[in-house]
Amino acid sequence: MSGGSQVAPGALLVGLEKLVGELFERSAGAKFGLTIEEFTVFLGEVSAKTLSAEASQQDVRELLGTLRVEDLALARACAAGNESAWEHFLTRFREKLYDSARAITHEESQARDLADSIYADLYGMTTREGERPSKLTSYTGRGSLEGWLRTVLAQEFVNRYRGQRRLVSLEEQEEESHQFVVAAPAAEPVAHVDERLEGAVDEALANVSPEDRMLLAAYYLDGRTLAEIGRMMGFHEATASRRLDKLAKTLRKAVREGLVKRGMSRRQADEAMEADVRDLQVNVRKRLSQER
Amino acid sequence: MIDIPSTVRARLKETAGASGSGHVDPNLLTAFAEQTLLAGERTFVMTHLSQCRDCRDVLALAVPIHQTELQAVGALAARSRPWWNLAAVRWSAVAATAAVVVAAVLMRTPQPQLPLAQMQAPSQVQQNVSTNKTELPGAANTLAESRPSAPAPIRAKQKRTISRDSTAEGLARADSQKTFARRDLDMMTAYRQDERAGQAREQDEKLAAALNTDVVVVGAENEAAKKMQAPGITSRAEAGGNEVQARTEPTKPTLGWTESVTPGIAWSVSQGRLLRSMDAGATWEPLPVDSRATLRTYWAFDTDIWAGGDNEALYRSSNAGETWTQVHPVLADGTILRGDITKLEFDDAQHGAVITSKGERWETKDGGASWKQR
Repeated sequence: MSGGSQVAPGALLVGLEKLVGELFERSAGAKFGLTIEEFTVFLGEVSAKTLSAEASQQDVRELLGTLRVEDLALARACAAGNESAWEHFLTRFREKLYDSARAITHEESQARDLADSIYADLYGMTTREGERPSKLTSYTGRGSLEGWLRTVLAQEFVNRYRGQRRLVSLEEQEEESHQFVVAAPAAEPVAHVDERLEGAVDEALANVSPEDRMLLAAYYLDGRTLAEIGRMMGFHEATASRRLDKLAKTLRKAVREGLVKRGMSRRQADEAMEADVRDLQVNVRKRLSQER
Repeated sequence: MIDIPSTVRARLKETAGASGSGHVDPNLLTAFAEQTLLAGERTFVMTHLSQCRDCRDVLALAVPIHQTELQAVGALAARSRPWWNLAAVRWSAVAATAAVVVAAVLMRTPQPQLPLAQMQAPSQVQQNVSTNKTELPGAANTLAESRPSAPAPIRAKQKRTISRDSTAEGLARADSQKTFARRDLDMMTAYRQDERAGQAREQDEKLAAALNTDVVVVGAENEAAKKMQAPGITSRAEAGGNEVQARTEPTKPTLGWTESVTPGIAWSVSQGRLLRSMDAGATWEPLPVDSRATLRTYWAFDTDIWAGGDNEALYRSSNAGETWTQVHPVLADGTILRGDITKLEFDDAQHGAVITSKGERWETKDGGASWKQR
């Protein structure tokens, strides 16, 4: 929901000077050498990034009300190189950063490595043309600084892991292609999915809300546990279980009705739902690779 | 759990996609996890998450176990169900009817006596309890421990006790205490809407087995339950006609821990207790902050500590936990903080904020003498 049209950073804060002043006081940015003018620029940037030029003053108030201004002031003061801010940051977050890295990687040396690499980005170790770009400048105060640090750690970890997995997959592919060179490979069967089935399934899925789609993807595609899903989505695992059960029933019913509407009998519809011809392709490939 | 048709699963896989060309900004993902997104943003983020495996993985890794349990509890408490919610009304009616029936039966039925060996005077109970470093609230017989927020392997060792006191007094007490385990039980109960009230005990046993814990049913009417031994219960005694159990104290953190600025001192919280180490984490001791309190979170800097937990529990120490003062946040207009304290955010001992399960933020600039609600 970022702003559609370009918005001058300060434009949205016109008329909200009193609120900005209160937020600045709450942020305690002054003790880290921040001025209210600088703080106003930060708030302006966040507002412009989040809201459109047509946003009302009430929208801006609502947004500013959700911001973690203390964390924002601290982060920006650190990014500006304020030593006192850095001391404060390290006291509050040093151990939490390593704890979070350990929780993500489940391995001590990997955790150290991950946390240290983030530290370098936060501190802005790479200097270019006299500047010290710090990743903390991208923190906008939409969530807690602690939570943002965890998210950044997790993103870095996922990027590294995905990169390694792609490399491994490439090696596996090379091995497989070498195996198939020896003998003429059998022609791969082409899966034709019944159009009626595809139509009914697409129709059923189109009526599923984004939240329910995420629930389905997390459980059926990612293989996450109910507890993990509950954590991700902010409700108890019992709620996740209940919703998934209901979703599964609703989808079955919707697909069956869609197939019947498209001319199948109920028995045909039930059979069609359970045997997906795309699975056959995988099985044949598996059998071929096992024979080598 | 009912499975989705394989055709739906296959289609979901085809349309979900792996890593897309763009990902959710970490600021938005964090705000999503902490439930502070604006209304329209949530839909946008949810739509992306439903299609992007990478972002789902990041979210799963970024949300800490401990905090999200608190979050789930807080969100549940904050999401006020409409009073006319049919399920709530139905179960309230069932509970009220059961309470009336049981109360009537109890008034007619004499209290069964335990064997002499198990009976102790109330004063002895108190003494026994204190040697276990646990002080139980008077004649309270409903103990619902917090579920340790720990990774999966820990669950096998740390059992949670669910107490079910089906006397009218016990039901009322359990409701007013708003303990975490009771909320769990309520949710599970609501989930199985086809269970009849008469099957409640069987339901508890199933729940207990599923959660890898033991059910301790306390109440004069249930002889069979009294014979059940619950691991983690170190003593049984009778006080005022009700059973009293002592719980085991945690001896080491199950979550991470925080090292203080003062060398050697470290802090953690486990099973509702604040733990302190004086040897940089080698050994730990639970601190007697307040035996009635179930603590969930803390903030420590040098010798200043704040600890918060269920039922507005908030305590402060300025001498590394040797002595404690209970803090009762009250606004200038007399409004008292209510709810579970789920997070503490302090810059120093004087300036900080308390966040509750209702999503309220209470700030102080003078070490808790005065408060403002944000």
